[in-house]
Amino acid sequence: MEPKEITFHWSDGLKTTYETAYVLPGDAAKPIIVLLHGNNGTIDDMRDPAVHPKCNYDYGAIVSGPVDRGWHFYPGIWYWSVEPDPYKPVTGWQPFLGARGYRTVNYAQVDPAGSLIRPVYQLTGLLYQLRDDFPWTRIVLLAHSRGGLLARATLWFNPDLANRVTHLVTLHSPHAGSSLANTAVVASAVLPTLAQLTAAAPGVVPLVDMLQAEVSSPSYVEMSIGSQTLTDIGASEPIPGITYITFGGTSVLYTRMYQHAFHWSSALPQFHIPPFHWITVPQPLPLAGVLLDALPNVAPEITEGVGDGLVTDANSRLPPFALHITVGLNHAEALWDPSLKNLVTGILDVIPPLPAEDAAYVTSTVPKQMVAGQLSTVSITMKNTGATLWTPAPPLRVRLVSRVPANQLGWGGREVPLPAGMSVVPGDQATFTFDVRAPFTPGSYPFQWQMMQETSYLFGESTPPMSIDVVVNREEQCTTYQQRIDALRAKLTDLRTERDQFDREEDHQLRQYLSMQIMDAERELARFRQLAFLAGCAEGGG
Amino acid sequence: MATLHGLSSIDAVRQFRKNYINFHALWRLSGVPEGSELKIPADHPIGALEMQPALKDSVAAYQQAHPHSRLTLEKFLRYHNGRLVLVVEDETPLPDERQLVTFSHTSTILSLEGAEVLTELVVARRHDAPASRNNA
Repeated sequence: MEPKEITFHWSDGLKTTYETAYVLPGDAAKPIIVLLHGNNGTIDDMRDPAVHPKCNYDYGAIVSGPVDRGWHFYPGIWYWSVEPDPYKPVTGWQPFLGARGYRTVNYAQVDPAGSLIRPVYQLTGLLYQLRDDFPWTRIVLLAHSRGGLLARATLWFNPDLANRVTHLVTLHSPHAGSSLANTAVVASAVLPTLAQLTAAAPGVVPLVDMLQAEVSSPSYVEMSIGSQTLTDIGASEPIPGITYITFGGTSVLYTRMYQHAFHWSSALPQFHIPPFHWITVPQPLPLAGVLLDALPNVAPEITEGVGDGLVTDANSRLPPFALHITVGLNHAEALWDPSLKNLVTGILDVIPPLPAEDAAYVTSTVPKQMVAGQLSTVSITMKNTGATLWTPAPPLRVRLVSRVPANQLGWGGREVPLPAGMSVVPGDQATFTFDVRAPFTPGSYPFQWQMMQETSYLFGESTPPMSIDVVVNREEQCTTYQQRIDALRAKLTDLRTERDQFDREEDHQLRQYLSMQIMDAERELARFRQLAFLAGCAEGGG
Repeated sequence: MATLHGLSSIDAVRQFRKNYINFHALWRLSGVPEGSELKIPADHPIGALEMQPALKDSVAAYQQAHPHSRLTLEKFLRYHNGRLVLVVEDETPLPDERQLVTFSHTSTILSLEGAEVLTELVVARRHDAPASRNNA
């Protein structure tokens, strides 16, 4: 199967942006997983974390043996380099979930290090498009770091998505903020000092680099402990219909550091050109561990057993309505750790398919013949044969719509809502009683209706194809025409009177507008006078 | 010398022998590169060559530590600032690994006038007296 391309749009009030995203193929019975990267992230975070954020150090690796550095003209002595653990191959969430049969959507957030406002608009556009393109499909938001705040803010603005977005899973998200953000001033003073220290002992280079990138982004204001954004997002939670699951980490170990020292044989010349054969051997650098041990004095986020390097486990929790799981991982490992993936898929695998709406036609009372232009009351009874409750209110907004012809306004409207306050449980019936107005021109007109939910999902059985003969009853027809002609004449009189009141030069535009209204009314009046004439009606008045 | 990270002195000796180039044979075919000089030990005994005192001291110290062995200095080379400037050897192959002993010294001079890096290497053959073999 090919990825399904979806085009969605969003607006920030100044500009409307059209974007394309791809839903990778998977089992249609399983939910679609929308992947949200974190602060300063890229689309690779959830797809190929070995590219970005590229902190996939293999600190479980066995220290490698001697390394051949080739031939040189001078002796090799002391250190060749100081290096972190080697990178290890890792699998991102998107390919992992794809292999487990999940359809996934991964995209690059707008303003990845800016305010959440535009990313919320963007995600909103994406989710509504998914909702429209994939009916009866659950949507799960799987978010890393700040992506969790983005997901919650989006649901806060769009609670009606809750009937489709059923689960929110966050990985190491700063739901209660990060003190690193609060202490940006302190951090901005401390981190350069740390960076200087790491120049002498680079054991914490990756961690400090990551910290600097994080706290220097504008988004840290929103991620501060006690920020207005966090307060607002949390005020409306839990949103009914959404299951919240949070994960938090407690490891600050990103990598070990090694000094690669020259083996003594690198200083022994050989009878060769060049004479020195350099060989280095790695040795753990103990200073890195010493520095890491000292870091807890700076912030709890970088305290082993308390935080994951950027977020504390405690602050990655939501109130008790959410299930929380603590894992001994650092912030970056949450992007690829296999045990975490198994925990998450253990949750995803038991999400049942969304119960589908369904409907069956029961009966209807529809006249076979109507007089042109006249109102008539009809009733259609449908049975709820699906698994969901029909309600007239959002988000489901179950209603009856005209199917044939679609968007037909000739019957006086194309949608008939369930009566306010009415709900129809599975197995029950709903009778829609409403007035239709026959077209003014005689003929045979189709009449067929079907149930619809949300924005545009038709579901269930249609009413049988019917047709209504629209005929002319001369007397009633003439009365109808005359009523219309009288109404138009009265309207014309009012419009002309109003126009005559605006005789000043500066009222020119208003007079012009009213003149156009008068012309429209005159055209409509002429049409009805012609219809009346053709029907042989004796027109009253002048 | 003790084994470190899987590399022992035995490994180093074997690598030395494996990597060895006989410059006398090579340059007879290709010609002596400009800036380099090739001499043969028969005309220029290595023991009589002018070399760094520290290198001579190393040879003497080894000889003193192994009184029952006799050393023959068979090959010599000198690198000056990364250029091979002097090779003293003939077609004689390297001593076998039990007899091979090498001595080298690298000295540097750094001043405003310039920098010099000098590396000299002596390859010697060790002849053990029968009585000393048991103590070898």
